[in-house]
Amino acid sequence: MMPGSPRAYIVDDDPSVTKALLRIFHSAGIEAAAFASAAAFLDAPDAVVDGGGCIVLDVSMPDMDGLALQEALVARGRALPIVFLTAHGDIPMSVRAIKAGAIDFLTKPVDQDRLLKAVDVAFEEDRRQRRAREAQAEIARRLASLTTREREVLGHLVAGKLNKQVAAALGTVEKTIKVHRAHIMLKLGVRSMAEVVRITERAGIRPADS
Amino acid sequence: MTGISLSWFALAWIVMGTACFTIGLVHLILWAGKPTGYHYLFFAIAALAGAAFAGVELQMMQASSVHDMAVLMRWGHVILCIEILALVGFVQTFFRCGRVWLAWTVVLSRAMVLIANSTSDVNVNYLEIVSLGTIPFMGGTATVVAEGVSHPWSRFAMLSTFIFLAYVIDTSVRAWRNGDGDQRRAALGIGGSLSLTVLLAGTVGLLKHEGVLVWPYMVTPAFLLLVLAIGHELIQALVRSSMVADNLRMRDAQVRQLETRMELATEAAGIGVWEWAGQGHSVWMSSRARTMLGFDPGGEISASNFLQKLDIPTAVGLRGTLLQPDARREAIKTELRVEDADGAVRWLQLQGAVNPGGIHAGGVSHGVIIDITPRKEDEQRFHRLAEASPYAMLVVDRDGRIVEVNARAEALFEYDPGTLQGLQLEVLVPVAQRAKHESLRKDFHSGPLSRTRRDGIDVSALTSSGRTLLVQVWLTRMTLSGDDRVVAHIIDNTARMAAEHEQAMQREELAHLSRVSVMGELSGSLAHELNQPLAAIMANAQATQRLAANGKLTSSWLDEVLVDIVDETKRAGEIIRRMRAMLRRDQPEWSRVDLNEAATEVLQMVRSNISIRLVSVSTRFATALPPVLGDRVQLQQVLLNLLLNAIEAMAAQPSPRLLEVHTETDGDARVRLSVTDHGPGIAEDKLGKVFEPFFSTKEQGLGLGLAVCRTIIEYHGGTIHAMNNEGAGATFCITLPVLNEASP
Repeated sequence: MMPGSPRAYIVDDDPSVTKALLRIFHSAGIEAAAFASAAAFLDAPDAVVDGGGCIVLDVSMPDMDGLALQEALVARGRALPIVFLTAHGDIPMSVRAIKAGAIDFLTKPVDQDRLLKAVDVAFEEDRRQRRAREAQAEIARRLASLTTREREVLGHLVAGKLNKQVAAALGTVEKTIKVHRAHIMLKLGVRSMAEVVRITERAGIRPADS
Repeated sequence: MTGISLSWFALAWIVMGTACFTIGLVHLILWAGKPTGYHYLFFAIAALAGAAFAGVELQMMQASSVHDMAVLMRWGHVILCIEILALVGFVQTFFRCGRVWLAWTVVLSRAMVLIANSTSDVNVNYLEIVSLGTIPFMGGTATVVAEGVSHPWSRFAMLSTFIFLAYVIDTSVRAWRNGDGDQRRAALGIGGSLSLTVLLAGTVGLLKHEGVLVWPYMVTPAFLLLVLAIGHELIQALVRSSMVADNLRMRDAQVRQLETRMELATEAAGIGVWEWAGQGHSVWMSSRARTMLGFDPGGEISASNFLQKLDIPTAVGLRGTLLQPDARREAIKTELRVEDADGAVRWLQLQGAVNPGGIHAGGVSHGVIIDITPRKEDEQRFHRLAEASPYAMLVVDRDGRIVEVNARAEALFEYDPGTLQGLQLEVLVPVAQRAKHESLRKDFHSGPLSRTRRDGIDVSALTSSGRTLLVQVWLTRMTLSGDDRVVAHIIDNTARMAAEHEQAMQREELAHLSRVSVMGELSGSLAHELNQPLAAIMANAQATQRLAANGKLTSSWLDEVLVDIVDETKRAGEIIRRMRAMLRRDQPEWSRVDLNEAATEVLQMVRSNISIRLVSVSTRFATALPPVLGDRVQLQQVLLNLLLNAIEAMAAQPSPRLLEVHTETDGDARVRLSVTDHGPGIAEDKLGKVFEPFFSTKEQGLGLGLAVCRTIIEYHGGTIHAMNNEGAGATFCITLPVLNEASP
């Protein structure tokens, strides 16, 4: 298995169903791996799942069911998109799953087109999430390169204050503020103030109190 | 009359007269000893007359004057008349077959001779005796009539004598023809001597009268011969009859001895003996028979008195048969009810036969009388017992004929009183089962005498209106009144069995309802179970389709996939089969059930329920658990109920939710299965009520589940109970009897 290519991680306690699902993915040219229980998946080394992809997860399993695994994964920050499969699902169960971020909630016996489509969507979502996470990391890196004074200034700026007001708040002159502002835009790699606001919003930097 | 000078002939005549007289006297004495023997009397008279005639004749031979001769001859005719009349009487009474008219002719003719004799001055021979003469005779001289004038009636006297002769010959011939042995001898002896004598005397008389012979009158020697011959015959007859009498006496004694012996024997056996000879008017009975029938010990029993004791048909039949001249042999058997002087009732059995009558005209019937009161009382006691019995009762003989029934039996089988008795038992058996029943009945009857069936056989029975009953029968073989019988006690179970059937139907229905409701609870779980193999099948099939479409399908792939598809299809089929078994509504099917297997299957059914509820199951199954007898579906229904209840009980419980299923033996004869949960347990005040109908702790529960479980387990001869665990939760425990495979 080449690292980096997306895979379908099947978690189902029924070996015959698992085997058949593996055959589906094989026939569609999708890489897949199977786990016999939620615990087995959780215990799997990070390297196995690092390549990304999605989880094809059976809802009802002994000891730990699919929904519980979903919660556990969220808690651990190993956010892979999940396609739920159930042999007998009800509406509250599906609502709960979707709310928790599931891609789809399919009922067995599942049609392969629907399954493969859901898996495609999940892969796409995974890729999107990965890109978003990378962008986030870049912004964080850039924000981390700001000096303390520059971060203070940034906080005031995203709160929508004028340079003169910022200078007054920080007890300095307007010109100094202008220099800081230029440095911040340079470090964050943006050309307008609007972009600065967007990045800081995404990074979760809160505007300074006035 | 001159004195009698003794000469040889005088002496001879005296001797002959004396002989006649003596013989006459002897027979007179014989007659006196037996007054009905008139022939003795007549013979005695004849003999005495002969003696008298001898005297007259002797005087005639010595008569000295014509007048004397005439008088003597006249008297001689009187004596002769007496003689002949006496002889007629004798012949008539001795042979008893003389022609009466001929006898009377003799008597009348002789009477006319006597009249002629009396009216003549001389006698019937002569109108006048002219002179007498003497002739030499036996060394002396005898007086004879030398010359006389014949009386015209003298010929008639001759004729009369010959009529007498004809009478004697005729009678003798008749006696010869009628009689046998002794009677023929008498006929020959008496008839012969009489005829000879009369012929001799008559002929001599005639010749002398005609003057051919010149003899004195000599009838006496002929008379003597006659008297001797007849006397001899009579004495012979007397001797014979005396011998016969002796024989008879001996026979009589033997007969009496036999009778005494028989009387003793029959007395000892308590048997009365009777005999009624066909046309006789009286009936002979032994003293025991007399006592039994209430007749005097000594008196004569008339036939009508005897017949009055019998029932009318028997009496009529007996009389009719007896009076037929050619009575055939016919058996008589009847029962009589008699009351003795104290009013006590006795029952007698009179049996016998009518036989063709032997020495009697018509038939003769004889037989015995037996006192059957004890047997009859037994019968009546049995009858009363049968009538008082709460059972319908039938008594059947060896041939399968119903010989006794009680009123209950008649009512049960819808027969009018008295109409069931005498029928063949198989009329009460449904037609299709008759042949089998008959062979079973014969088999039962050929077994040991004390045979019984006390286990109550369930059979179908047929009433007279064609209704089929379900009855239970108990059989006892016994001897009743000396006969081999089978007594059947019968209970009508039709209503009870219908009710039981109804009850069973209701029980089944309720069990089914409860099962359907449990399966409803389980439907999600079952759908899950079924969808798993379907999902696998579909995925396998579609993956293969896709490969085929892309031209990448390999045969090894196809082989593997098809094997899996087949396996999964079987798995789905098995799940459906189990569901169907639980949902169907069949009659219980009794078979050998292994509780371990049954529990494993049920656990598979609830597998997804268990996993959804995050329950973990721990099983501990006894190895070599003996099987139980039961309906697998119903027993699994109980397990299902208990498992679902246990899972339900732990729903609000944080993990771990542990469910334990254990099986174990309980002694030799029982097995136990327990289901333990670790939920909150059952409130103590409700512990005793969980098996009651409509008791439920669930909001949606009907409250029938556990009630039905208890019904099912009790129907299987087992028990079910609930208890709280020492730690947490409750345990439900089923105990069932082990199937005893040794017994059928």
